[in-house]
Amino acid sequence: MKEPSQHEMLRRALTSALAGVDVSVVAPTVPEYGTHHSKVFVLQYERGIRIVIHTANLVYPDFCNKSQSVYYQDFPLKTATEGEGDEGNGNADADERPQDFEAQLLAYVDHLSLPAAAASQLKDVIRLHDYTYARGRLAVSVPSKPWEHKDGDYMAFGHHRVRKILQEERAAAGFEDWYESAPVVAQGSSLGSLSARYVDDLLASFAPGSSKDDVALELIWPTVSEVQHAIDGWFGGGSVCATSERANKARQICKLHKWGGEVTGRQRALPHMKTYLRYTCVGDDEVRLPWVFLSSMNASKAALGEAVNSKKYGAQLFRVLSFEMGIVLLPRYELAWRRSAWFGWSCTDASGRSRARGQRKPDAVRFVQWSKSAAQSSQSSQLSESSESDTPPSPCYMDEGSNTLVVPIPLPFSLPPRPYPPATTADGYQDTPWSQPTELANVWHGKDMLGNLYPGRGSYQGLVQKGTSESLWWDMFSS
Amino acid sequence: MNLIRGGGLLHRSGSIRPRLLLTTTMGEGRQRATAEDVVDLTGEEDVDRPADKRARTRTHPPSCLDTSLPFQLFRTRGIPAEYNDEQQGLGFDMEKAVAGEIKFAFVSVRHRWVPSCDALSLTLDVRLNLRPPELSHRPDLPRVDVPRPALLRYRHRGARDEGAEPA
Repeated sequence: MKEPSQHEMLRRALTSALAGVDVSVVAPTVPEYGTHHSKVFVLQYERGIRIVIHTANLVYPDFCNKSQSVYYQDFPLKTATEGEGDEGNGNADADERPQDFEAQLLAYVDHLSLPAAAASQLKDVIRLHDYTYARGRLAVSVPSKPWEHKDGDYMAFGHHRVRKILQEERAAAGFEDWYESAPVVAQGSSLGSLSARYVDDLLASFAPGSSKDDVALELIWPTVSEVQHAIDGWFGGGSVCATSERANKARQICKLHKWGGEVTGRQRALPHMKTYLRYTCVGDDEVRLPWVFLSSMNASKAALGEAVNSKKYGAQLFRVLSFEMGIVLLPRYELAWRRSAWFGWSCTDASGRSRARGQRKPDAVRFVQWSKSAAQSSQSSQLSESSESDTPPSPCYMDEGSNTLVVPIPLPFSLPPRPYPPATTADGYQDTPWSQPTELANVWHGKDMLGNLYPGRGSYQGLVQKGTSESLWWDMFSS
Repeated sequence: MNLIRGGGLLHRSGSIRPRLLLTTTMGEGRQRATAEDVVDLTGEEDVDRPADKRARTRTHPPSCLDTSLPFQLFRTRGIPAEYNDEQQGLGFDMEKAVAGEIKFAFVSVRHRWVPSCDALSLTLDVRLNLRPPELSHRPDLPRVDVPRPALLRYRHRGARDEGAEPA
């Protein structure tokens, strides 16, 4: 008798445990070197849907010990928003913003190769809801047979999708003058095999319209010292993936910068978030961000995609290997949401109230980097998000002169990022990019924060199995 | 009727049959999942759990979900409380994000290194009632009384019963 597959066994186990719940488990097909990497919850409630896009694998160290980011938003049923025009929501520019949130979600589902019934149900659920006031634009990566996208799909996924979004935003809303030369920051927890040509391609996407000579790509990647002194010590380095060859190559191509983490007290919480952005410093205490891309996509060709010339197809193709999901957060979309009747609405709040009532509506929104000093100084003059007394205070505040709402973005690393110090022989590893040794002879020396020698001890369940942790570690990163 | 206590609720009311659709990368060459691997979902073991965990998992009114910032950081262990301030976008709590009565859940996770049931248990029962990490990393410290039944459900199958060994 043929043994059931792993996911069938998982389904049976969950069905047994979750009596009354209809459980389906699907392992989407991915090409070699690809992975199903997206971290997404789509939760349907009676009155709406909640989309949660985050960066954590569902294991203990990721949830508790790493720096992780998340976007989530509730959306109402289309039946609840029918007939709601500009007059109703007080937002005249709603229809001028490209609306493709639903289309991207559906495209993602289409590529998962779900069983027909499951795909149909999921798509029906997605279609029931109104995403007009999403706070950003979705950007997903999906592999497709033969793992390449062409024609209409050429600009639809990965970093090409981000390029398209930013081009449209630049054309529609424009950016301030400083934008054209603002540096691009890329921060992730895994390094692919980067080349100078590929970095130029990424810059063309994250800084469309800017000359590549004017724009620098600042890559944030933890040093060996930062891993050594992290909460998980050496073990935590297992989630920050790069070979020494890739790390050194990245150092040759880009300027590497330390993780830092001091802005939000996360010096010892290694990054597992993945962030792309541009920034400029205004004065000594404000860092402005024209957009922020939060996603599961690491800086790799598998995740962000790669343009390739195909002799077989005689055309330019866009190759993506992994399933990923992210969102480009844009001030214009944030403004539209905050001016709409659905601002602050939650599909799990029984009262069904939004926070729009009594809310002063801003004329513009500006993203700035969160800082402790700004948060403290704004305590006394915080914007009241609602007249309701049970509504929590907001960290946002109003720039009174321009009626612009300032929205802090809690990025852990410094902006500008701190470059690696010059190579020294003293107290090594502070200038060495983290990588995972592939041979036992090349392991890192010294004890980590927990007093353990490399490769450290730990477990993805938060439970060390005595006598097996080292084998677990090695087995893990060699797989 | 709530099928899952804690943060995540797939509910059953009337004729509605809640549905969970999970996409994941399955572990290759790893242990296979069985019902024993799935965390207890009845909450019967709450009596064995630390008081602070009980308090945390039972107080998560969905209506206090903070939507003021589009980009937030997860709550992180071992850092000053001021940097886990939820109102500042620094202390995102997944328990709140999956609170409420869910009719249909589509969950997309990466899952290659660990048994899938553990990850999924976290998804559905986001109580994070895992072993206190200080014990995980400092086996040389004196052992304290940890409520084992709830913890052992999260371990790898085939792992030794750590509690039977001397400290």
